[in-house]
Amino acid sequence: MMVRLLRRAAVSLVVLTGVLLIGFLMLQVIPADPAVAIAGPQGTEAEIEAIRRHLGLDQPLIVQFLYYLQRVLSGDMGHSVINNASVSAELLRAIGPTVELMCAAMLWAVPTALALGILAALRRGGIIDRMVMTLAVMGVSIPVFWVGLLMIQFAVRTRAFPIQGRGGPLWTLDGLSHIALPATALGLILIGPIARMTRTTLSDALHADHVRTARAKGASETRVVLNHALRTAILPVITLIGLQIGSLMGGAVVTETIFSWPGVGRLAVGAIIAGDYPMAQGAIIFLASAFIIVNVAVDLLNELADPRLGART
Amino acid sequence: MKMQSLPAPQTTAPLLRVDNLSVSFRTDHGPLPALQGVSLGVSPGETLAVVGESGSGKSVLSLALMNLLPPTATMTADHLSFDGRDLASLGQRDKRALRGRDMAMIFQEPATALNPVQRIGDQLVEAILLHDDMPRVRAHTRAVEALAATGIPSPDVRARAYPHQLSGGMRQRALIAMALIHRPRLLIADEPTTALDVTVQAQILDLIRDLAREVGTATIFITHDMGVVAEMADRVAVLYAGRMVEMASAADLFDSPEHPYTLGLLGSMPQLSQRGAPMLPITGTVPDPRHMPPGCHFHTRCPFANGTCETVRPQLRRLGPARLTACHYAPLLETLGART
Ligand SMILES: Nc1ncnc2c1ncn2[C@@H]1O[C@H](COP(=O)(O)OP(=O)(O)OP(=O)(O)O)[C@@H](O)[C@H]1O
Ligand code: SF4
Ligand SMILES: [Mg+2]
Repeated sequence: MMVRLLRRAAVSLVVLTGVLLIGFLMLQVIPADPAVAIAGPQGTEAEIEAIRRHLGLDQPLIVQFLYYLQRVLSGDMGHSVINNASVSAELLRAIGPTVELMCAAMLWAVPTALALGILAALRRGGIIDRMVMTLAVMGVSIPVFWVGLLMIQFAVRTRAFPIQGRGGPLWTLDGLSHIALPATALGLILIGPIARMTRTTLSDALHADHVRTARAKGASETRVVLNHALRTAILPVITLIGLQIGSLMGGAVVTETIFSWPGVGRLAVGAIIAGDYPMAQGAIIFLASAFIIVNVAVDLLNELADPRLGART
Repeated sequence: MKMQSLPAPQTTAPLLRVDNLSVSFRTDHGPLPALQGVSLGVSPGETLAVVGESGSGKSVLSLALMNLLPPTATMTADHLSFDGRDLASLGQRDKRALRGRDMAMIFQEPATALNPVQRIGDQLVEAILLHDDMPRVRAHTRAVEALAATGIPSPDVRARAYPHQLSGGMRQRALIAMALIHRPRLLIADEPTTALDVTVQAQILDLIRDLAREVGTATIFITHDMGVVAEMADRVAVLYAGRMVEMASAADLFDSPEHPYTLGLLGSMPQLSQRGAPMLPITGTVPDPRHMPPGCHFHTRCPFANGTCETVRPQLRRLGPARLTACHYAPLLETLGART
């Protein structure tokens, strides 16, 4: 198991470097020249040239990349070319709200989806089952921004919820009412896939031989479902939840932008739109590394939950 | 090989009795009758073997008796009683109280019958605590003792293992330990040795027999191996395509099989067929339960079949105090003698 984990970590490191490289190159291709942006409309040729030298933009790409790697590793991601704010500091400030939003979304969506999936599996062909399958299809095909915009429409009409930004801490009414809509919109994308996966794996597990053995022991139906069927059925669901964190991060970028939630996603989008080269790169690298780390963590969790996986290596 | 004849089992009151049991499955291609009109009983201390080819309905029979059929199955019976109690009139809770404590089952597939993500010991502890109130630590001690009784080496280590860490033989032992932990009055063993190699098979058979004898358990032993039947059974019920075609004491069955199908089953055992009965290995396959031939269900494969067999279905007939067979030409050996 140790060997497997180390290998996983090594692979992740390679992928991470790749991500840094791709993020770096992608931003090379975009037409906005940060030096021009910094110099402003009145900037002279010479000024622009000086800024370029200052940012290292006159060096060959590979050298720029190595410089960048070195700086990123020492925690220095540069400064915004718009307002000169430290990228690391801005990111640190934005992480909290993004994590908060994602947690809030998962906090309601995962239990709801599990419950729906379980009920659907127990009553196949029933109302909840059909609802779950419809949701699963809809969840895939309705984009988050559309749901978000509908919610804003609704909130503006009814004046029931604030639609912009983050309120006070979550334990205050103000904080809760601010996070309610974005968390709902973001959580919705999880419901369909998780509920459907739970339904599928659980209805398979309910017919498994070992579940029949549990019944033969005289276990009650509740016990059979929760302790035996669900315990094996939940493993692929955990994996799926882990994989969904990726799309959740994608969804968070959109949701944050729509609801002006001050997280990493909005930071990234804002920076890209403004041509804020270091800021955008920092945010993208951060999102990508978070994604990779989460995947490794999910793998580890899976291994702990399923003794059979440890045997493979 | 053991072949003593026992007093006719009908004289003692059966622990389990079922009359006219039928089971049908709902499938995408219409109803599938898996079991039709099966009646049998088993008395305390007795081992009833149920034999038949793959697909003859043996597992369905055992699941029906344990009330473990999947929801797609419909089951009907004129009578189904355990220890004089009508099982049909019991509620789910009462049936659950019997299951695992008074009636236990060993399943066909040791590889999948255990929970893959639960330690062996915990699975036994659960089985204990479902019917007995005791501290977990005591239950664990008892679980390890039960494993030891089945001959598992270092049972305390195995109790901490997961099923995939054990060999097939050890898994089956663990399942046997689990089934016998409450000293059940009825044990249904569904091909408990089919998945195992021959030496392990012999050990497991001894184990079941010893434990069953010690506890005085009534055993329904399901198999398609006539060698195992000779080893284990007091009485034998032969199933063909969901129907019982012969029932006899083990001694009678091996001495003078009355149904051509039984003869065929014995035909795959050379050492037995030498004793007078002609060797007649069965050709062909079991007919699809949805498209049963008219008349005798066996006529498509029976070497004795004639016109009557194709149109008239033979009913189970009594040939002796504990002997039933469903063939127009029983007693077979007499008929054969008359013909030649
Ligand atoms: N859940 C089910 N749904 C539909 N048909 C089933 C189901 N279980 C069993 N059957 C059918 O019932 C018939 C009897 O099956 P059963 O498993 O009892 O055979 P068996 O005698 O135990 O065979 P084997 O020796 O292979 O274990 C078969 O035709 C099988 O296809
Ligand atoms: S009734 Fe006819 S077909 Fe059926 S077993 Fe007897 S001889 Fe064979
Ligand atoms: Mg079977």
